[in-house]
Amino acid sequence: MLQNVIIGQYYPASSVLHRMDPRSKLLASFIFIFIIFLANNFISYGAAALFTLFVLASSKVPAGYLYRGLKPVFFLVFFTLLLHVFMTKEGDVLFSLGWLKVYEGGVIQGLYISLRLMLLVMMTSLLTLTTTPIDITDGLEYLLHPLKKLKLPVHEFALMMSISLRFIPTLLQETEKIMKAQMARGADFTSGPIKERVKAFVPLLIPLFISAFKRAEELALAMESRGYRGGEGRTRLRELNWQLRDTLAIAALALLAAVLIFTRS
Amino acid sequence: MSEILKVNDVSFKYPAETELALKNVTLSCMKGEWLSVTGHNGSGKSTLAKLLNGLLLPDSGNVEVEGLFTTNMDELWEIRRRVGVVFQNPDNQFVGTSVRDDIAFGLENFGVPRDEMIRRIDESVKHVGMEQYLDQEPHLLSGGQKQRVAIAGILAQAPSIIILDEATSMLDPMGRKEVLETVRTLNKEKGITVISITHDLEEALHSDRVLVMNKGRVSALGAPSDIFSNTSLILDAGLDTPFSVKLSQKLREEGVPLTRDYLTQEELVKALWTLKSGS
Amino acid sequence: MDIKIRQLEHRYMPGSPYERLALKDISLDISEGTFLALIGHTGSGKSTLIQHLNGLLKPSSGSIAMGDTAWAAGDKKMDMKPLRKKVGIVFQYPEHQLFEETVEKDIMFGPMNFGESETEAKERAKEMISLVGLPEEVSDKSPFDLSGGQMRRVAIAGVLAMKPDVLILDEPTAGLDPSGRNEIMELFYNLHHDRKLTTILVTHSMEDAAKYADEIVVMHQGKVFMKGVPAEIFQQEEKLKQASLDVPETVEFLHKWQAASGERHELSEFTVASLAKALASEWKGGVS
Repeated sequence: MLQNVIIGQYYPASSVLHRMDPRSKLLASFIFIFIIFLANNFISYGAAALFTLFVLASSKVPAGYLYRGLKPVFFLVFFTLLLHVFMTKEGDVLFSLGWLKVYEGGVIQGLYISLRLMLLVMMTSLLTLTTTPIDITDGLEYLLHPLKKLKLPVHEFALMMSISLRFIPTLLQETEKIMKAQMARGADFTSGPIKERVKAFVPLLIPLFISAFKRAEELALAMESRGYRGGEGRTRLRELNWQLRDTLAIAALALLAAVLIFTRS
Repeated sequence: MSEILKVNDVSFKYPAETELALKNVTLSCMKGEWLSVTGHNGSGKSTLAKLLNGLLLPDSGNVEVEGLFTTNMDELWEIRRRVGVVFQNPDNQFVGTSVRDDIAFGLENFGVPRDEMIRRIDESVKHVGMEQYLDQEPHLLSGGQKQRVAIAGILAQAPSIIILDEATSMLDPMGRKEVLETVRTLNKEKGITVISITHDLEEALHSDRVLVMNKGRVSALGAPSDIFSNTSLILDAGLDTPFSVKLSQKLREEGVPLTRDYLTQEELVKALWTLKSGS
Repeated sequence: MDIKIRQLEHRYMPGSPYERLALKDISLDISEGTFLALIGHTGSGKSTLIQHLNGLLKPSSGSIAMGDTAWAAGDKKMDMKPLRKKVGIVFQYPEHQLFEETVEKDIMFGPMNFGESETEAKERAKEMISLVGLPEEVSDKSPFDLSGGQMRRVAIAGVLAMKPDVLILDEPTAGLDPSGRNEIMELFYNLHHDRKLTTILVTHSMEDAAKYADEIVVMHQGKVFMKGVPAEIFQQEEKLKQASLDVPETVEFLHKWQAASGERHELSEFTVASLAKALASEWKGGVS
């Protein structure tokens, strides 16, 4: 089931969205997260939904792929819907099941909030689906650059992120290797009562931690050997390129914000 | 030939240990030579490697590279640019998320302008034969390929010395060959000095000089033919005698009148042939 | 325990864009008591193959029989634990699997998992510590305070403590210095004879294969490329080259000498001593 989750995964394709500057995509997603809260009626939610579908279409990510990937999130959305339907006591009573009364306001609220959640998840997924993790890191580093004046370790944070990204596949391979070695010694990771199963992971986790620390130590030494001494005086190979389409994307978000403000009630 | 690197009476102790890891080590390395440093685990050879570009600093004595001293903080960074180290574990020195990014890492640290960086990456990646893999992610590369990327990263810094710190010990025979051939070409064609910490006999045999470390001291330094004909020295250092030396000795035991030990198969075949046609 | 492998095939990540055929049409018989060397360069399928022998990987097609236990592709999930008790694997860099507070406890991990009593497991830990040549006092030490070579021995002891009938060694000497390498290989070789084990050694070292193996299987591109006794395999220098492999130094030297002198020798053993004997015969009245 885990391999179906697409949150945080990259979908390789060549679309306008893929080619956009990560900074504009990050900014646009950010703006979207804020302005979606402006929507409060049928028309404004409709506008936000249409906008999301438009972004999806221009991303070249197949709708089916997104749908399958977001399946696990549907449960959460459905739960939110139920919560609102039963908890909100506004408007006329639609029907009642014994002591439980379902109000019209509850149903409408529930639908709106679930839609908002759906749109949020879709938009942020589209960000990660069209932007490689390393580009997101670069974009974040640039966007957070002003915080350096407040003595926040922006460069170190970005480097940490990119090194983590670099080592995820290596650590996954290592996990599999150690798991197999312990299984060959009779360890069982898949059956038994839950308490036993948690205990069974100790022989996996300890070697993993030890090796991760050793890697960190060796990597730090290698980085120092290659002249690393913090962000001061460093040049960069990776370059971000803000173009007209990026400005247009931000303008489109501003336009959406205006539409939402005018149509909300 | 001029001296490119000098280790002057260096002693070093790790803070947590009681015993010295290096005791009064003195040696010098010539420009353009291939120096193999060998000795068993714990002999101090890896500690020595880390002192050569200032990853560790001597407790007494000093390390001098082309007139710069590792103990001089202003010169340390220039020494690190000139002395590149390829470490043992191919994974734990690969910093970038792709080959290109990894080669760039050192250049970024030394503040090389972007245009110059791109030019140097393109050039150095060709020297190690990895130009097809510039955008490849590290977990899809073999150990030997990762080590060649590490070499490219050093090469791009225009170094004077490359240190191989057991850089081939985790590789399979093919990977080992790839890496050694790459470094050999750089040594021959670009005159880059190579200091190789190694257990690999074949490699030591083909170097210009061999340094044997034992319990933190230099126990011998000389041409491979002098070092490897001294069987007791080799065994004390936890090493194996080369195949041809072993065979020379066994042949003498069997009554074949060889006058000395031969280091390579070619020499031994030649000596036997001379012996045979002479008799 | 006789091992029978029939038309074994293995695909990694079937149905995904990363699908890869790692083993093709492997049929192999290894009879009880054999010391088999499995040779091939990285990516030839050796590691994939050995992981089938104790059910860590499942065949995509074909079948495997280990003694009385047999299974085939598509079989419903069977319990591999009884089999894993009999088939011990020493993985590459086995010291990475150490995790317990003390050496003794780490060695006891295997036997306890397979249902041995604590007393029995302790007994075995003690036996194995001396067997792998470690001093008795390491027993209460943390394995992480030991040297790399000692940690390797502890990990090996942890596998041997299961008292397997089949011992699979995946490059057990990788990264050790020459003297450590010899000691570990001698340990396995003696164990193989004393306990009448079936041993499968995965290695890059032609020298080790020449020195210890009764039979050699060469793998190349996921297939069994060559199979036979060492003398047969080493005669085919050209074919080995196709699989990017070399012959042992003794054979290499013999070939060089043959080319130079025209003398021919047959080696029964591939040690330096027997090579020297064979060559020396030319100096003893020309009897070869």
